[in-house]
Amino acid sequence: MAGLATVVLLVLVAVFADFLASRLPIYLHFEGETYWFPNVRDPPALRAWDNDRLEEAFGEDDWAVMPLVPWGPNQDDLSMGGASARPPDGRHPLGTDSVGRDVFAGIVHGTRIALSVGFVAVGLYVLIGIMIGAAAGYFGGIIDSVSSRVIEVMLSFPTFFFILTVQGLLPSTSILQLMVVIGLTRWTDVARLVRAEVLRVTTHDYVMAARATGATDLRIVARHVLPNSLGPVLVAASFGVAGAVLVEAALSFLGVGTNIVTPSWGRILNDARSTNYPWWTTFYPGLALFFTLTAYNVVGEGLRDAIDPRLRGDLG
Amino acid sequence: MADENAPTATPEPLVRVVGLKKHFPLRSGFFSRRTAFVRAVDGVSLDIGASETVGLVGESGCGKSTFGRAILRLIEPTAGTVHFDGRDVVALGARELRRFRRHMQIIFQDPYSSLNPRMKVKDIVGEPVRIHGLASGRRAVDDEVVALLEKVGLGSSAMTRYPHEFSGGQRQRIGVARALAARPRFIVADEPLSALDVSIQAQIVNLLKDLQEELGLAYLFIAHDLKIVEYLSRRVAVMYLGKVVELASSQDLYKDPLHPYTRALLSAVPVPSPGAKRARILLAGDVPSPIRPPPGCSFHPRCSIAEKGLCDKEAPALRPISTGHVVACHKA
Repeated sequence: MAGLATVVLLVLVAVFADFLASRLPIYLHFEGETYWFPNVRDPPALRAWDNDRLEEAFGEDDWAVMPLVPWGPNQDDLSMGGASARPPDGRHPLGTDSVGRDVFAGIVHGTRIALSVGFVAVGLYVLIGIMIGAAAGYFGGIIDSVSSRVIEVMLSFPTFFFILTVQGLLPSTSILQLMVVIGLTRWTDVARLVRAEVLRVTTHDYVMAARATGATDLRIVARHVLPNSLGPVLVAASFGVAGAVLVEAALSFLGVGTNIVTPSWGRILNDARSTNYPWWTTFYPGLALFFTLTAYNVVGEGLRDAIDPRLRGDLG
Repeated sequence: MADENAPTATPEPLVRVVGLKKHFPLRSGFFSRRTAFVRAVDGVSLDIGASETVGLVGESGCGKSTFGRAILRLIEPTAGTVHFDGRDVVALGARELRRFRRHMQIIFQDPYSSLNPRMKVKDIVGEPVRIHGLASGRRAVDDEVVALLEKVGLGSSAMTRYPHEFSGGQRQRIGVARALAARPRFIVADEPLSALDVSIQAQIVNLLKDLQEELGLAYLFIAHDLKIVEYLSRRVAVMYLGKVVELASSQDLYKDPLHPYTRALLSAVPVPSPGAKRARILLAGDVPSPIRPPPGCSFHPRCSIAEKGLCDKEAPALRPISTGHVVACHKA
C-alpha cells in the first residue's frame, strides 16, 4: 500500500508540477489585466516576466497567487550575481545548481519526465512484447523459431550500453526519441514472458473449446489466451517502469539522455558533476530517484504476490 | 473395407469416419528430424447415425480422446476421411471449417480447465451464438443464453457469475450449455463424467440422455466407465493401442464379448453384489508403446489365447462375426 501511495503521489506531483514550481503565478492581476493560470498557459504578454520581477513591479492594485516555489525548472536566478550553486535557503528551499536553477523546481518538473519516459517506454515495449510473444507462443513452428532467435540475439547485447550507443550515434536527443529507443530495445523480456504464459494457457481445454465453437485465431488469442496470460506482464511492467526511470536518469547524467532544455533528474546530477558535487544537487534528485524506484519495485512485488495463487491464501 | 468395418445403423450415417490416423512425430537431434511416430490413432473407421450414441472405451492412452478430437479437427488427422452429413470435414478450408464447426461440438472431461476463468457465464455460453450469428443484438443473445442454461438445469442467475463460483457438476452443465449453443447435431463427449462425483455423474448422464431425446443429438461417448457406456450407448467400440478391436451393439458386447481384451475389460467392472463369483481376467504387463507397437496383433504380448506363429506375425483385420458385431482377433 505504501508503494501504491507513493506512486499516486508521484503522479500527482507530475500532473500538478506547474502549481508546485513555476516561473509565473497561478493567478495574476497585473496592470489592469487578469490572468488565470499563467503558470500553465504561459501567455505571450508575460514572456519577459517572472515571479521575482513581477513582485518588484507590482502597483497598488496588482496581486497574485504564487505557486509553492516561485521558480521554473529552466529559470536562472541571476540576482545572485553570476553562476554558482547556492545552498538551500528561504529563496531556494533545496538550493540551486551551478547556473542558478532551482533544484526543487527541477525535481518537481523532472518527475514529469521520469514518469512519462517510464510509462511510455514501458507501454511501448510491453505492447511489442505481447504481440511478438503471443504470436510465438500461439502459432509456434517457424514463427516461434524466428522470434526466439531474434530475442536471443537482442538479449546478447548489454541493454544499457546498447541504448547508450544508439543515443550517442543519433544526431540529436529528445525525450520522445529516448522513449522509443528504450521501447525498442527492452521488449525481449516481456516477449519471453508472454510466450511462456501463452504456451501454458493454450493447454487449457477452454482454448480448444473456443476453437471448437469456430472462433478465429484473433478472437481466441484476444478473448481467451491473453486475458489469462497477462498477470505476470503486469508485474514485469511495474518493475520495468522503475528500470526505465533509472535508464533515463543515467543517460541524462551521462549527457546523452534528454536534451539540455528538458528538466530531468539526470540533468541535475549531470550539472552537479561540473561544480564539485555540492551535496544538495546530488542528494535531493537521488532521493527522488530512490523513492520512485522503491515505490515501483514495491508495487511490482505486491502485484506478484497478488497474482501468485500459492500466496493468495496468506494475504487473505 | 469401410463397409465391412462399420456396421451402419442407418443407410446414410450422420458421421462416417474412414481409416482415420493421427501420428504424432517425435523429433530429436540438432536439426529436429522426425525420428519416430506415436501412432495415437492408427486407422479407425466408425459410423455414427443421427440421434445415435456410440460408446468408445479403452484404457488410458489408447487414443480415444485423440480420435474424438481428430474427428472434429481440433487435432489435424494425419490420414483418413471424416464425412459429416455427406461432406468431407477433413477437406474443408480454414474459413469453411470455422463455419462448419457449429454442427459438431465437444464436451470436455475437466470442467475446471474447460471454462475460461475470466469470462462470465453469459459470455462463455453466448460466444458460439455470437460467432455463428444465431441471434443478433445483446438482448437476443442473452435470451438465448437463458434458454440454454434452463435446458441444462441452471437458472438465469448464473448469467453474470464467473466459473469459479460453481461446483464441478454445475461447471459441466455450463460446458454442455456451451456445446449446445451452436445448435449442433453431433457432440463428442470426451469423458464428461470422469472428474465428477458419482451422484453428479448420474445427473449429467440423465441430462445428456434427455437432451438427446429433445434435440435429436448424436453422441460419441468416450469413457472408461463401462457401466455408464452400456447404459447410454446403442453401440460400443473398444479401442486398444490406436485401433478398434471390437465393435458391437451394447447388448451383444456386454453379453458376448469376443475379443480377449474386451473380456478382460468387462471382467474388471465391479459387480454390485458382494457374493457374486466372477472370473477376473488379469492382464499381464503394460500397454506396449504406441511408438513401436508389437508386430502382428498388437494385443498378443498380453493375450492369454495368442497363438505363436499367427498372432505375433499377422495383424488381424476387423471381420464381422454376426450382424453388427465385428472383431479383430484371429481366435474369435
